[in-house]
Amino acid sequence: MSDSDTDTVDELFHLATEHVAKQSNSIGSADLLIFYGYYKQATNGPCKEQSPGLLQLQAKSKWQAWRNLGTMSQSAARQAYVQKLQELQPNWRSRRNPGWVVHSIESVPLEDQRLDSEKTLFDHVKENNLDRLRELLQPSDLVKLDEHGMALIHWATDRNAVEIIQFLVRSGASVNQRDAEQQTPLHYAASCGHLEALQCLLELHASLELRDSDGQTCYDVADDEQICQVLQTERERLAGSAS
Amino acid sequence: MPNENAEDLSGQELKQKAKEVADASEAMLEKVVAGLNIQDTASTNAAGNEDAEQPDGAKNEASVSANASKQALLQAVSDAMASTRQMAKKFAFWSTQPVTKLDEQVTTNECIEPNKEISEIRALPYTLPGGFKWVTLDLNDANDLKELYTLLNENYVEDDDAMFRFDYQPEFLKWSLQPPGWKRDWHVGVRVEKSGKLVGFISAIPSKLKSYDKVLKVVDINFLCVHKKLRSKRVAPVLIREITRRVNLTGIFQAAYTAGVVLPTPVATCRYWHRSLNPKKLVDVRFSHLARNMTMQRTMKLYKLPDQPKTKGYRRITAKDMDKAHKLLEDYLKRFQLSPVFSKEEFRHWFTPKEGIIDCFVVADEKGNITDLTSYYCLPSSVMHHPVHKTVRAAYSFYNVSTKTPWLDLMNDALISARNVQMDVYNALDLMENKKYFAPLKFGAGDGNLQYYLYNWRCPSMQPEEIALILM
Repeated sequence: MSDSDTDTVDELFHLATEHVAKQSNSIGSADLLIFYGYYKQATNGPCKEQSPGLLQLQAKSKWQAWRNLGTMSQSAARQAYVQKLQELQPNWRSRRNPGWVVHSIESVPLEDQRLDSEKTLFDHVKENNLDRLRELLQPSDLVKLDEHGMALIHWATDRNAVEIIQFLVRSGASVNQRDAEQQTPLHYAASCGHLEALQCLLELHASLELRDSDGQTCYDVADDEQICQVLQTERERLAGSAS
Repeated sequence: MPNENAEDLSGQELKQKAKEVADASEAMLEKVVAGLNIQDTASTNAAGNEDAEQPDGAKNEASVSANASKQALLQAVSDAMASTRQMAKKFAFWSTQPVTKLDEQVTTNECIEPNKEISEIRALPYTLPGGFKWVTLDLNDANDLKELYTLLNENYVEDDDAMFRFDYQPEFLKWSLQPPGWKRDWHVGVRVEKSGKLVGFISAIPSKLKSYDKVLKVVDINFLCVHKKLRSKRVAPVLIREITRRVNLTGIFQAAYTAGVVLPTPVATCRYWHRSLNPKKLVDVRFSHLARNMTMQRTMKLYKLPDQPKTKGYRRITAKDMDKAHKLLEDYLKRFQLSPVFSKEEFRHWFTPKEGIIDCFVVADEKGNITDLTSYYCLPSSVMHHPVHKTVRAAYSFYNVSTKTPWLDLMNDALISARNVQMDVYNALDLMENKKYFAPLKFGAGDGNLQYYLYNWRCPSMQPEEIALILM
């Protein structure tokens, strides 16, 4: 997956056509037609052929798929082909060449693709995109809760995105921000077992004793032994320094 | 392969397509080379480079003079030709074998070619490429076992960018390759003559298999593995021919095998499903993926399981249960179209719990009857390139029978048992009755298919739920 950035479009296009050919029975016919159009455009350029007769339905729809691309350049068509496959099967590259041995992993959940312009600050946090967040964050965003009743800092903690947590707190977010169920970021770090986020929040002086709407502290929602230990140590340290 | 494939391709068409691609690739290559004005040496190298998996750096150097994108295009074209040739070669091999053709309409359940007399079977091993020799491995010898472990561990996936690799443990290999009736002669290795290094392996184990209404003596073929550096030398077909010869010599003429790749011709296509037991780790290593709007917090709650199995009478199988449990499974498997027929001895071998290899649980009622059974084998995967996690511990559903305990209760307990021995994920194919519990027990679809094949046996293809055969 990672080397997809370094491969040239041509190589990717070639691999993608191979993959589509092999997987053609697991791709819907509408999508196959789109692939066909891009393929013809990429290899032959704009469609100059005569339209097949009305009775040749399949030939006609294939011709149409190609024709629809108009004067799209061949390299743009190659790119579009790869892009289309990427959307349909995000991990196609590791699946392109099944051998004797299959090592299955969970399929990537099918989700609608979002353009960068449609993305909200919450999306940027979920995608760990600190740069976009820096550009776009307004102070009023810090206390907004989304449809899940979570603020940005809850999402950052849920994703164990330490740099984003630090950035949000530096920008004025409360380290003890409550979600709709009165949970603090520390509740999230503790229940998810995110040691890095937990330590980051403790360094930022998050409160250990706040209770959520079920009356539970971060300690109560922790499962992981290491997390419990860190919290216990922190509690004792605080108790020690208080007395 | 190009993708003029808005329609399904039959075998004939496939061959035709392959030829078209080869022709098209040649033509395209010529055009490219002409356009680039590269010297002849470069073009012949690119055109003659059949070694797709190991592009020879030296050979390609002549074309480095051209700029990078031209280089890439050349490479792409030469890859296309190589892979077309490989495909043609692969099917060229399979077209010589007694297997169902891709476009064959099958209505019978019978052998493809008749059994041979021993005298008709080649007496000497097949010829290996120069510099290699046949060996039979002795898995009871620690060195041989270690070598096999290393060969598989390093070469048993073909994809070099794979994030995960199977890590079959030595004791697991012994268990799976030494069931009752195993033969050392069927643990076939290939070594480099000079260094003695093990570079190829294939295995067979004896078994009985029911295909529709007929019970066959077969072997299960598994662990076909060729060292990465030998992939271009066409060793796999020789290994297949050689194991076939050795098995034929014992009077067995049918085999079962599974593979990821589509060859002529799958009897069924199954898919893996995965149930997270340790979701945080699975997301960390990118075995599974958080949907955009899913929190880790909710994910962990979603997959949380009770501390202990809940079904009354659910316990690990014991030596005393073996005969009753064998009978339970034997009766149950009859309802499937493709299923093993285990002897008592074989059942004991496959279902006696061995830590880190195989585990089996039964539900016993008050009278001591065994009413249900669940089993899984353990096969860790190495995680490539991860700073923290080196291995994913996976349980693979083996055979399950429910007669009294509802499927959801039985399999939920199986999940709990697997989680309690620190398995990270529970995997199951969509065969037998497994689909019944996938959704309610929160399994997610996998991204890989497993094809089931029979050798020298022709029968109508089957749906996954008609299959009850697990090859590890």
